[in-house]
Amino acid sequence: MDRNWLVNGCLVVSLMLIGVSCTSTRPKPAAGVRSDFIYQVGMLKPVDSQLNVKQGDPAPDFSLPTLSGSPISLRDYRGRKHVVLSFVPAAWTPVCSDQWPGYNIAESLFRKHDAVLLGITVDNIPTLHSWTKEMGKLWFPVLSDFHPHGDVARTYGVLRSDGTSERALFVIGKDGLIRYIDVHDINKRPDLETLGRELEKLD
Amino acid sequence: MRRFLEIAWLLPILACGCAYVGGSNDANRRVALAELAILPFETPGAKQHADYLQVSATEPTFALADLDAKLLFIQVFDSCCPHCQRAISSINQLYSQIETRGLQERAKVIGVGVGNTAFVLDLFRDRYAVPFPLFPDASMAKRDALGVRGVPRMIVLRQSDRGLELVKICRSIGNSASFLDDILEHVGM
Repeated sequence: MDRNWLVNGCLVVSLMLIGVSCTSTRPKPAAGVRSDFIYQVGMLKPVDSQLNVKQGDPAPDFSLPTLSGSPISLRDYRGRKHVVLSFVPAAWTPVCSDQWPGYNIAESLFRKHDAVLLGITVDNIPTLHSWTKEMGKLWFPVLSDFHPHGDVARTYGVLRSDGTSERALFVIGKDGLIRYIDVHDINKRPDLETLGRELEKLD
Repeated sequence: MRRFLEIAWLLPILACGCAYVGGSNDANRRVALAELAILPFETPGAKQHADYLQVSATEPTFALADLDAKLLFIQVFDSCCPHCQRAISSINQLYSQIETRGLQERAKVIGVGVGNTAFVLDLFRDRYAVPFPLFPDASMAKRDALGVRGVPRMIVLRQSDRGLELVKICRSIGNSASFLDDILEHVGM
């Protein structure tokens, strides 16, 4: 009887230790966007819109609400700052949830080239609030192109047929002219180095 | 069944062993580590980083097997991943802990930027004041050799007469001092 008790006790302790050893190697929840919060969209058509502007054109003006509450107009920066518009397709989707945090390491790059970054999606403010809170602190303004839906994206020609926007970058000089356009494959993250080289050309 | 019960006392010991160096696929892991040991890493352009690793600045590449350090702490990350951005401060602290304890000759910290170019890693290094060498892995060849899928991951390797040995893989190191204590105790340093 005593022997059985001892053996069974050993078994219980063993199973507990095995459990501890297995669970300790599993990923723990971490700061940032939790992977199970991300909606998996699968592979999408790389580009699904037709540009309405080209390099050298005056950038169409717009005014959009921001997360901070005050609206931002493109004309506010005319003659003062170069502007980079970063359209991303939608909140809570895979590539976007890395692309914008990626700009967290590039703040000095923008400052060095006297440029500002404006992040734009077609999502509404409450959605952007939750998403960016989960993403962590972003140093640049986030603008909502929600109502009228995707109006700015449509004006620039980067509104996709499903109502999301392209993953697109527009570099606009202080003179208000479009210097660079990258309507990127929606499934891939644009390379920061390429954007850095375009910012250098503005100096 | 009776025979199994009679040897049940062995299981706690096995479980403790598995907690550090997962027991399965040992043969595959040994092969992977042998390949990793000779994988070319670009010699750091910055002199202080080449000096830190004690690799020749005149050679374009080096291998992990060339390093004199007994312990290697490899942080695998993507500079654009918010989890990785938040994790880097504890890795910086780990580097400081190693220096403070005078272990910098025997324990080295490096970073591998998965999908990242040297340009992006320079931005990351500046933004988070990373003191240790970072290696670009735009092709993800290093990530594949290291055998990890997600980021961030901390991989701790030990150099021994038998080559590189895996000590630990984890997503987060938590408290850097306690983490270092555990590793040092485990490897007997």
